Amino acid sequence: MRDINMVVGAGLCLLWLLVALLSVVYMPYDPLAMALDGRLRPPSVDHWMGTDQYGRDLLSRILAASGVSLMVSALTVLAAFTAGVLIGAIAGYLGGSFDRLVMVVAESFMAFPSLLLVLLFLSISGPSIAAVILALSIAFTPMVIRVTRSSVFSLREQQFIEAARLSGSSKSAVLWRHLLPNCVSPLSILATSMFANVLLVESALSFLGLGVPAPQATWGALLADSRQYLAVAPWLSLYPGVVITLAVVGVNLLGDGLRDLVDPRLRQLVEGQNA
Amino acid sequence: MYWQYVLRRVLLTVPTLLIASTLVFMVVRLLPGDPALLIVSDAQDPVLLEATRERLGLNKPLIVQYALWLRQMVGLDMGVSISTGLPVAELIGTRFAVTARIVTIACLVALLLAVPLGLLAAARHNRALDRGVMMASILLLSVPSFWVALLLILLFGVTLRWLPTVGYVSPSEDLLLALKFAVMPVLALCLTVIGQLARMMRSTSLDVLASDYILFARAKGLSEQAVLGRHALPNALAPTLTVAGMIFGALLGGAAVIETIFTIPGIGRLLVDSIYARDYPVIQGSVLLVGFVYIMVNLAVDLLHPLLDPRVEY
Amino acid sequence: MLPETDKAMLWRLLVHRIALCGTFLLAACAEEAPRESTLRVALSADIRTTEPGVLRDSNTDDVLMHIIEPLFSYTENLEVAPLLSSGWQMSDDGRRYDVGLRRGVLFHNEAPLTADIVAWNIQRYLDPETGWICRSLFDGSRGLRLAAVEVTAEDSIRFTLEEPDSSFLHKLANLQCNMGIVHPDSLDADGEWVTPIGTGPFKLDEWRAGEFVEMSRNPEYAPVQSPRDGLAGNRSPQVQTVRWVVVPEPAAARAGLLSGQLDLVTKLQPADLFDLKYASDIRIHRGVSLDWNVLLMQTEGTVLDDIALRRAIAHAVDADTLAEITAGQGSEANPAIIQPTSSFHRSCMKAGHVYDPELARQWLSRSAYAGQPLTLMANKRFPAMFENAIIIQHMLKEAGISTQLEIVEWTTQLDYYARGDFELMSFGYTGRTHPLLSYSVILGSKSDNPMMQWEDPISLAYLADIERGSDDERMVDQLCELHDRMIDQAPLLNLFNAMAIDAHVDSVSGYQTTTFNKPRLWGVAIDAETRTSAR
Repeated sequence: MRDINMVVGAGLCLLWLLVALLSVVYMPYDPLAMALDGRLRPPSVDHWMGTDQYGRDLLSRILAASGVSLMVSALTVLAAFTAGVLIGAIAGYLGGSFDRLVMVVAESFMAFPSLLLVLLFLSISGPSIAAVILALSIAFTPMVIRVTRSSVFSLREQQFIEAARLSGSSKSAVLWRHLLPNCVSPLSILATSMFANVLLVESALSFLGLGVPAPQATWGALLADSRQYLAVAPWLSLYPGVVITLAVVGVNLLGDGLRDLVDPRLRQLVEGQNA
Repeated sequence: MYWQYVLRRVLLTVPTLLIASTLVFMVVRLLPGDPALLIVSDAQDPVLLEATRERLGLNKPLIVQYALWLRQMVGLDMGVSISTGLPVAELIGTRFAVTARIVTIACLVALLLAVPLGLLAAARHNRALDRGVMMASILLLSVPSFWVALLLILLFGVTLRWLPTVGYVSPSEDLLLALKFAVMPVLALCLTVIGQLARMMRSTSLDVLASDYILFARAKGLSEQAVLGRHALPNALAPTLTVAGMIFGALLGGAAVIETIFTIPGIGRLLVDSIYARDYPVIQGSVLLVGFVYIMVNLAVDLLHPLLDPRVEY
Repeated sequence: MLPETDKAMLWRLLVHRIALCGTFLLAACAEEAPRESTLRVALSADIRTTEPGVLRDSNTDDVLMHIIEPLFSYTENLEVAPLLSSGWQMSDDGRRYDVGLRRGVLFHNEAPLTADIVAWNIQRYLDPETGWICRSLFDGSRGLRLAAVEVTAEDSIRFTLEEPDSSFLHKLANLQCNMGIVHPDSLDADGEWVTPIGTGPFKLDEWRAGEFVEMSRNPEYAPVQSPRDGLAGNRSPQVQTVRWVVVPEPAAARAGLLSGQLDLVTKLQPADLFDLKYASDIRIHRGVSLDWNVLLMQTEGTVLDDIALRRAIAHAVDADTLAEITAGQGSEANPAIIQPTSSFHRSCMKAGHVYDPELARQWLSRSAYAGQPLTLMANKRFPAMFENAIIIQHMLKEAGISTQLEIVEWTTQLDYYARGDFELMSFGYTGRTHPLLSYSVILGSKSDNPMMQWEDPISLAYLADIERGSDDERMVDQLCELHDRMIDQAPLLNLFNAMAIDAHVDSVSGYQTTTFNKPRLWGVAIDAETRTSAR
């Protein structure tokens, strides 16, 4: 069971990556090329997934969007983790008033639904890919801080850390060489669930009109824009919806597999964060 | 010991909320765009624009506006909405009640379904039922919920015409009608939650079922129902309830998309609308309310945890 | 432990129960008595207030125009027609207007309409404390100054202007100003607004913020005797109740119409019709509206101060195709600022920039443009502005002009607009009913008012001349001259007039789209019997 999960999950993620890479070198049509006389055509031999309201080829748009979606999710997770791990580890390791300050600020951020924070941020900055990524990572960072901090905190008093400290390692060496490597497994699992979440939150943002701006598009944007044509051009909604679902299923399965592989005990920690 | 802990946690919410509200005050005023302009743009008149700004108190220095707002807050006055002139407290109160009702039902429904499903899946570990539940829950939490909502409307609202798609009826007006209006939004909201909770319940149940005392109970010859119902369930429930509480808190402010699709006058939609309208007092008031409730729900969950789970001690 | 058979029994029982609940639910959905004559109309956003002309937007105006009425209103081809007034008499010097009041008009509280009340209303609107958005149209700051308002008889009132002004009645009838006459009891003792007690065909029953506004038929309504025409003429109500349901999401409004929970949805986008036109029980109405879409070009301080570049852009944009895609089939480009339905429209106003990529390239080569991307700003709140931007980008690219889309929130875009801070902007104006009002939206000094798009002293002088003049023939000549200058200088590109698209279920009768793109609910009836509804 767990192997199948892992294989299916990894397979879907790999497929996503390959499609994104493929779209750089080959797409059946220019995803932005309009054909104003061939609008809202159903799937056919020429256009496997049909065309959109401006006659653009949907397959090409989904291919092009795969890279954008991948980039948004990956960079968001990367940014949130870089900031979150750094702050969380230091807070957990130093403890004391710095720790308390960090936790109060993180709690203040977490008191708001992430969608709201992102919305406010994007209203200020104006939507652009960079702003969407930045906004999402700001919203997700406090969670990384919390998990890192509590992992480091619980490891701090353990014997092998004590031993490293007594053998004369500096504070930063203890942190980087001994504490953080032991936080990798909970963090990697958090990363996969966050990756999947970012994809969904970005779709919701697009629905509210604040996602990655046109003419570039993420899968979420394609899905959100298709609601105008739900009854007359269901394929516009169906394909992006299925693609997003498959991608999120893939990432989630991969995360499950990863978790079972490293430590089944970590389930509760991460699923708690998932909320 | 326990009460000291409670007191400390409650006191800690004060700085959290103060930081949060200051943050929101500043952030909101950084928003480009001008609520006065939205009101008088059609007049194309700079003089009128300036006069409107003055009338709304928007041309005072920021620090003065902040001081005024803090003083209002101390007196528990949230001010009036810029775009409608209605008192903010009243506005967010009614809207919040609507959201709370829908979200509460959604979370309860999700719990009622997810808890037995998760428990059964764990009891049938690695068998067909388990795999089915796991696959279904992964699917549920992977589907974009606004897509599901749109498909639900298309199927049950437009094609079959079984359920109403637009609006909201309060249960105090007409209970049956209110239920009918609630079916689809509740469904759209709770599908994801079912996925999350079923997975949580399953994994904690697995841990519990592998523990010594369950083995002991089984060895005593207790029936499967008794083992699951009397011993596994109470012990596995606490973490799931904790997560359910967190989800509940998050949904109270984060259901804007579903509220928009089903035209429910909830706090999430109010927030989004007021951001678009740059209605500063409403944004501030509702953010504060949502944040406060979220913190309180989490606090309550944390505080209930030791009572629910006999193994946790303080 | 239960024996296997018992377990199976239990399961079967459970399944049966669930099925039973399901049937019960369905049955409950099916049996629904037809409601009495209520018209349910979608409102894309909640109204802001029930006070006219202060915290206004178009939704607020749309609802309030059914409850309160001004002295004058507009016919479909934009002529001023009396509504609460019985007519007017202008003095020879053009400075004095004597306006009579219609007899037998009652307010919703059954008090009769008197000249005293009308004068009180005018004074209240002109009082800076009220915050009326159109005060500047009457206080001299933008030309016209209303010197005096006097009651000359119980049913007659005299307006005296400092200078003659050919647009005075148009300013009184102005739709955005919404100068409705209300009974003084609409305010409390402190002068605070309470509720609109008007003379309109409907009375306000309940406003539940964020949910709905409900109004009911005014049984005492005294209609004008001429037939319904535009927003003037006979305004008799035909339905008992109107419920405006707040539905912000267009997809939800469409679903509501298709599922029979809404009877009328107005201000639709052409894209909405894809879903609606195949439904057999939906009637669709379309008509050219006053609202017009433009491509703004900042002539001050950007590369677009280069007239050759502006002309290149003007020739590169195929406004007819744009109109057809964005506003739907049958829409045509309109290079003029005056709409084709207006009685002021003449054939000279059909002249504009022809779509000609070759000409565009020629102008481009004469310009200082060196291939740098221009920023084109738009928003997603108004689909037409968004779609125009997307397609214009495509068209400009074909002509060798590179643009970068900047999609921002509407509120943000408005801020950039008000500061004049943009290069290219896809924008739209709400309809103005008189050429003077239309031109005064764009023509003026940019340093005085950054919202102005066209700075041309000669044209401004024409405008002032038109304002003072009273000879219609001369005025039309001047308008043609103004139009030519606008096309020649290309300070902005007028694209096309928006389509007013409304749809209703077929049990609604008597509805027609107006050029004002406002839902007009008087004269509209609903047959509750034939309605096939889920609710």
